[in-house]
Amino acid sequence: MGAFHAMLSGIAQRITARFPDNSAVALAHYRSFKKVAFFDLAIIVDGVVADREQTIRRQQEAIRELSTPTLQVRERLLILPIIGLLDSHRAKQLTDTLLQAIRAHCAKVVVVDMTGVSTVDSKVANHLIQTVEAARLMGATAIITGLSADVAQSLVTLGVDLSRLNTMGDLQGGIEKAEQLLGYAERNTERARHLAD
Amino acid sequence: MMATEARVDIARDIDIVTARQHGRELAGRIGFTGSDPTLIATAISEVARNIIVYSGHGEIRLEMIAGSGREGLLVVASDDGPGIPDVDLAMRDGFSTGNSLGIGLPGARRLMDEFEILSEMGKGTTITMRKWRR
Amino acid sequence: MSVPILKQGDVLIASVQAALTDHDLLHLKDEQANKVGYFRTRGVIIDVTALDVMDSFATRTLRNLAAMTHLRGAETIIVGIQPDVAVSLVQLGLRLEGVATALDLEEGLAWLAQPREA
Repeated sequence: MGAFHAMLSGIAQRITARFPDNSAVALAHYRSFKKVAFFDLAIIVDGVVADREQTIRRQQEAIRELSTPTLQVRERLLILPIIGLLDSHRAKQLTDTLLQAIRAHCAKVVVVDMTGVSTVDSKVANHLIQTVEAARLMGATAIITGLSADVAQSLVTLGVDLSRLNTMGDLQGGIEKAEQLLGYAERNTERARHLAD
Repeated sequence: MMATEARVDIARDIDIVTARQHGRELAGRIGFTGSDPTLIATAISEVARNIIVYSGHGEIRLEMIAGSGREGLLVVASDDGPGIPDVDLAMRDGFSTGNSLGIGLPGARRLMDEFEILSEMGKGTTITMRKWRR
Repeated sequence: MSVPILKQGDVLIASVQAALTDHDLLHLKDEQANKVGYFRTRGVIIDVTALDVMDSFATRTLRNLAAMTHLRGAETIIVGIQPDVAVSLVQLGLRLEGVATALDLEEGLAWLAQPREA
């Protein structure tokens, strides 16, 4: 699993390097690649199902982890594409992963792309809010992108105040907004360095 | 054989730190991962402080437990203080009003999987909490 | 165990340790208030990188500290909240509203360097 993940990361980096100015295209290419990669993985998993329960559970965990890597596209900017069904347990894992990534990459903006999410329940909605707030406590702004009309409606019905969330229609818009925020932040870090001299 | 249980006497504020450190350590040994050890330590901190603030003296007992094929941690916070006159009021969530004064016990409940509170006027209070590994 | 408070120009930096008791926290609040007034401080950074648990008491005290600092004409920012601690804070329902937060000391200094309306 480790080798597979390393390979995915390596490929992600190469794809990103090839599209330094167009992160959305990079992401689209990465997604297409992953569809093929996971088909192979599914064949391997079938063989393993014959094994003991604990082993299966652990490997399912690993696959779920793999399906949501964080991508570092620019300095200080993380993209977290959420692919697949979100249950309460996985949502919590995603939060932990994201927050660790914020620390590891000193990220100031995180774009959480929900294009791959078709339904949310109240538990997941709460997790989303909590993730956004936890990111803020670590000094990072979260931008949510790719909310379908259905999911947006569910969130509103569940009592989520969408105006409290930073949302953009699509990933590209989210990245642009992020770069705007980061451009502003860069100038202040510069100013701080001058003052410290 | 490693200890599967710990008892901490709660009388001074330094004991709050001791109790939560024991909690974190035991949680780690039980196999809790991610943010769970911190959530557990935080819940212990809340109930330990509750003992000091409302009673002055008590005890926190931590125990490794098992049930339905998984392991977990049991936390029992007990004191022989005056008791809580209105448990419902004490457990009313200050969450929605953002009032951190009301956050202690309801907060601990949110961090753990199971939470029971038993209080008798003049006898004391016992809070029992459990968290299970996934 | 008291919390060391360092002065860097017109900024005070307090680095909190892991085994922080309630008394340490209250002492920090008072010390901070005195120093801000004495040094005509512009900004205060509370570095909680080493703090492994932030419960309701700690949060309330730090919020009060920020409010008192503000009354003395300085701004407070809390830096270094760890991932686990951030998760526990939001689950407890403590949003630290009204207090600025940043990832680390460098970001905290950058934030304080921003021009701000009084």
